[in-house]
Amino acid sequence: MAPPKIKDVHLKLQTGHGAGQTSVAYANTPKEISLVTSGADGRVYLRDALILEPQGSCKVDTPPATILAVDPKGKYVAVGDDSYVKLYKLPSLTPERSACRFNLTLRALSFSPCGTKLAAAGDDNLIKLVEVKDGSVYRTLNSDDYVLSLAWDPDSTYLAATLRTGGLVVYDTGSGKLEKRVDAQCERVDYSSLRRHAPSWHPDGGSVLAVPVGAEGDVALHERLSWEATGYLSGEHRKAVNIVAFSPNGVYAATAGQDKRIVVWDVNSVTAVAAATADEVMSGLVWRPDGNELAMVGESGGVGVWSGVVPKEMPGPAVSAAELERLQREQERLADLRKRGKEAEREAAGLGADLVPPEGGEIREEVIEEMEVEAAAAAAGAAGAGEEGAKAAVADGGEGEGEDGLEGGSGRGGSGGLGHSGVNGRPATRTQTTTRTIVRTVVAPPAGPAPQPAFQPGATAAEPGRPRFLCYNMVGSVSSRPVDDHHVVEVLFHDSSRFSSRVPLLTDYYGFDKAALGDKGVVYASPAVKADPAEVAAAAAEGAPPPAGVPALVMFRPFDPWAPNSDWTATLAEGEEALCLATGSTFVAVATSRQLLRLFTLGGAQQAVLRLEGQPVALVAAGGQLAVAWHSGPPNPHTKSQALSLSLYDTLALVCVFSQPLPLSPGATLTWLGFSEDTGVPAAADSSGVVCVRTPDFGGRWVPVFEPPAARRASEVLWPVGLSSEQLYAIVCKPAEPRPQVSPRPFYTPMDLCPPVLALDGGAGAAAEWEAKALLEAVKLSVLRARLEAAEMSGQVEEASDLRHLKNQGEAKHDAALLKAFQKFVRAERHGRALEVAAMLNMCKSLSGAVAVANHHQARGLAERIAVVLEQKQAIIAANEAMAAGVDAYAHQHQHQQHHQAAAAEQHHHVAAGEHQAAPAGRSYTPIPFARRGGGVESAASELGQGGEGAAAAGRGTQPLGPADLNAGAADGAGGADRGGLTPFADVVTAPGSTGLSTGPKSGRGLPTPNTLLQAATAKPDPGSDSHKRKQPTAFNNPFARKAAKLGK
Amino acid sequence: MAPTASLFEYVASKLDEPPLTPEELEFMAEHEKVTIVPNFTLNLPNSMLTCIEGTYGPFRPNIPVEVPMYLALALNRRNKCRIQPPAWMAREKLKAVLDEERTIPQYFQPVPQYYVETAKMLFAEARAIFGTNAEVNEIMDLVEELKKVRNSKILDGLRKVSGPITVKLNNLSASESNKIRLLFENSLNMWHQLAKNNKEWQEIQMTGTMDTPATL
Repeated sequence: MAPPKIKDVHLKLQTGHGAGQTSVAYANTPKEISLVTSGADGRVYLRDALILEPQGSCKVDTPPATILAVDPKGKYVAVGDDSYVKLYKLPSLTPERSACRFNLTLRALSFSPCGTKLAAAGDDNLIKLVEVKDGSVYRTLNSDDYVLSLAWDPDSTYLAATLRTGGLVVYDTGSGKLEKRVDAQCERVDYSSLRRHAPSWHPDGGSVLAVPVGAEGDVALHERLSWEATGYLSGEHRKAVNIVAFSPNGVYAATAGQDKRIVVWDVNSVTAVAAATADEVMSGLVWRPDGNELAMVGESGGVGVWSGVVPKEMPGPAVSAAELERLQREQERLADLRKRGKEAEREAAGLGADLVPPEGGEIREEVIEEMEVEAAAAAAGAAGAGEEGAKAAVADGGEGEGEDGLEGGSGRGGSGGLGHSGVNGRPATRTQTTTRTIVRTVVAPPAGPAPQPAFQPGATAAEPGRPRFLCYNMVGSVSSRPVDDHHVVEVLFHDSSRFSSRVPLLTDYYGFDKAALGDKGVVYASPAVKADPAEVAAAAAEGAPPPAGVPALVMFRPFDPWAPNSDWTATLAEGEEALCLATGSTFVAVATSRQLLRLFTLGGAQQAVLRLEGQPVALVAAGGQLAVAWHSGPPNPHTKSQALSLSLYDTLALVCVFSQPLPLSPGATLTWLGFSEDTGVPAAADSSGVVCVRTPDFGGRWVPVFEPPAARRASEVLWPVGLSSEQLYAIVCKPAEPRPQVSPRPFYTPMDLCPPVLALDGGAGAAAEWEAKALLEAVKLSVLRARLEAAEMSGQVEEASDLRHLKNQGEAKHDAALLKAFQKFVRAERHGRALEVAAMLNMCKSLSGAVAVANHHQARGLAERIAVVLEQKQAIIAANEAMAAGVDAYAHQHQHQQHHQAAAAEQHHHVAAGEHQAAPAGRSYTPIPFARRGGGVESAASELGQGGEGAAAAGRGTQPLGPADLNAGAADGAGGADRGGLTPFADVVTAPGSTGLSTGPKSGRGLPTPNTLLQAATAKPDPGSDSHKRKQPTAFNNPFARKAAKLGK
Repeated sequence: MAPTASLFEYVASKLDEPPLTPEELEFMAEHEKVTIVPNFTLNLPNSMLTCIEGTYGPFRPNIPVEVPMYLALALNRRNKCRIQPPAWMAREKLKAVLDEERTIPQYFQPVPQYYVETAKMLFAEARAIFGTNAEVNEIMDLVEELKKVRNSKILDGLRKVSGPITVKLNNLSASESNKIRLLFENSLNMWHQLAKNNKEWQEIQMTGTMDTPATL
């Protein structure tokens, strides 16, 4: 938390007293400043303040002498023992008189700052206020409990006491009234405890009361009068604080805790400035009234002085208020001079004196004072300042420039709200003039969000003492449960029929905080643990080598290893942390804080070490594919969105399939990353609940396929686990507890995906549902087509036939959804839209169905136009089939014969590709026979048409979107990878009129786009031009027509 | 007819021999639906399971599905699923029902038809679904308490039935109605008989002919 970790000084105390409560105070005797200490052995020593040599001593009547207090004038020391408070004269330590008597042991003594009163308390539940002059008890306050410590405020008005039960009470000593009582402020301690819990008042009239709080080592700063805690000194002590002491000027506070540490804090900035460790817990701690020293006594009786507590470059702890003010002014003046120097520079450079506000920010100007000054004095000051200013400007020249640069970007970097502020005094020019002090504040634009930290998809946040999921995905869950000093990690599968082996519980002493579950094994990572600073200090003091911390670990456990010793553990280099993990069927991936992507095989062989382009955010793996989300830049300060990119690696083919921006909803962060279960496309969910998948269409874009239903957004939170092409699997959580709990075991609920389509007017709104379905099917279909293409190109016949089957199924589903929408549009008399929807249909069967539906609704014009589309489609398919026959023949023929065969097919069917020349393209494959089937080759052909440029691109091997982009089955990636420059974009095929069939853009898949078909269908009828139009309309002789009409209903 | 034993006394002797045996009731209760979370994939079309009396599924790992109790228990025995405790068996729900049941003597709270049998089967075979031992015991106690309260309500109600009073017996569960079935059957028959005789007697009175003796 604190910017630089402070190095602990090790303090060695010398033995001074017996073990037990001890006490120490500085005595400001007329001659010199001495230390007075008392201890459990019942002795009181007057010591030299530096070498601690005893100069005088006495013994109390009833040891132990647990507490002492020196009066502010340094005349007396009051010592409390087992039953008496006695005053001893200083420096001779001769008994003066007994102040008061208690039945039980004294614990606390405090002189009022005026020196006339003494407060004493102990195990008697009473606080006695004693008049020092005559030793009379003038007031008794009942505290209801054992008092541990007392502190009198500098105004002598209030008295603060800490109690054994942990309470804090503040009394008004004038009236004896209880001013404030806070229960359970500190740790409750038992009766024989040596704790003091000593509070301390700020010396400036007690504006702040510092009291130890709780068992974690915090100190609360209570405001005077309201007695509310307004601040805390925290983050340094590991155990409860025993003593707080403000420095004489109140700039610093020293705290000593049960962790044997002493920390010195800067009270204004609430940061630690120095720290020390000792061998015992401190029982007394005081600042030297006039120096940079702390005197302390320990519970084992040690006595010590820590000199040079506050670092030299800071104002001393005993520096007077006036001096402090002077120092402050000095600093301000220097800053002012530096600024003026800079301004002068700017003016010289013609930039104008004004500050340039950062983008989106503004400059606020405020006149804080106006006063008449003596010109002479001001001029002198200005002259002196000018000289220094010049120097400062020279010294800071380079730095100043750097600052300027930073200022503009500070908002984007999210460094803070206030960019810069300074005091700008205008020098006087005439005698008796007005000087204005203007404060200019450059207000930075609203800072952008911080870059989101790396996370594991499917992990829940750690909560102390509660079990959590390290990973929860479609395979199973990895949960970690704290037990005593370690964790127990459990792996459970959702589908026990797929994973027969039970994974034994893992007893985790490393503190694994990340895990990734794959279908072949589970990988864990633990963070590096720094060595305990106290131990390091101790080792340094003994001259031993410092104890090393535990480095970050990565551990992999396969489920069903065939070989023994298949588990492996990798130790990361020092300073390297595993940020994200993933494991697929063939690999383990670790993204580390050194921006490295480390790929291991399942056995632990190091397959690759790659540099990532940005800090990793999340990893996810499926099969051989690995998706890496990384920060491509700082978050956008205006949209508050994270700037992320996603790279997809094929670890089998060793290719990066794509690397593209990963857009999120405005202002959202990435919360989940995964792959679709059936189509294998990457999917991402963001903090606004929107789930996107990446479609290969449009060059690879993200389609929002799920948005949490608005009606239920307030009552439930969806925590995504997985995704198929139709459903999202999510755990339904309550808004109060937005993360799933380990017990009872959660299950996921399937929810239908639904892209955010619009319901259009005119009674056709009901079609929106089906349009959304059609969109989803289209995404799935484009993935399938892409994979099919890839499989065909790499010659995987079996896979291709499987995919073709799937594709046909997908087309049928797509058509079913489209037909439903079509029917709704027809019913709503939106014939134009209906025709456009019909043109999107994939299969002839569906088209004839559409014709039947149109006929059924008496939409003759529509039916005729669809029939035109159908005819064209049939013709094209016939042509394609012929082409396919040619290709099949090719598959059995020799390479040379293939040209002729294909050419023959071309000529025979007079299709578009006949216009193409198989121009040499620097690559050896021949595009022609594939031209009707594979969009990739076709596009290559079009590149040929565009001249050498495309060919050159292919030759260079630049592959913006290779076939593997299709997220194809990974195994064939290698084969496809070297075919570069094949874009799945639609492209222009041939010049219009070259064939009787299609004139216009074709989709990348070799089929005419709906638009092409529409052109013909919506053209003015011209029956004479095309002979094939003379045929009888298809609708009437199509066997599917009637069936499809039923389907439409 | 001299006033004989009250209905309550009559039913008390019959309570032990209900017309349907508890085993039969349990068999019927096995057709009640419960939600399970399967942990297996079914290699059948659509991963649906076709039984004689119905088709259940789809069974997909970690996705809840409603199946009859017998199927749930069979799968649970083979460690193939986690049974989700029925909603009415949640601790808070049970406590609320029990409270209502105690405070409102006039009505019976609506509970599932086969709650006694369902609870018994789940406690016998799938204790673990309710959490730790202490939690299971608490729920068992609650169900037991509910049974007792309802039972005493039935008996109380019957005790009061000694004249022509309508008894409201809505929301009785299967096993509870089974307990009083015999009594009601017989007594209703009897009333029917009496009513018939009454009618005849009235007719006779009205017609004035005393030829036919009243048959009982």
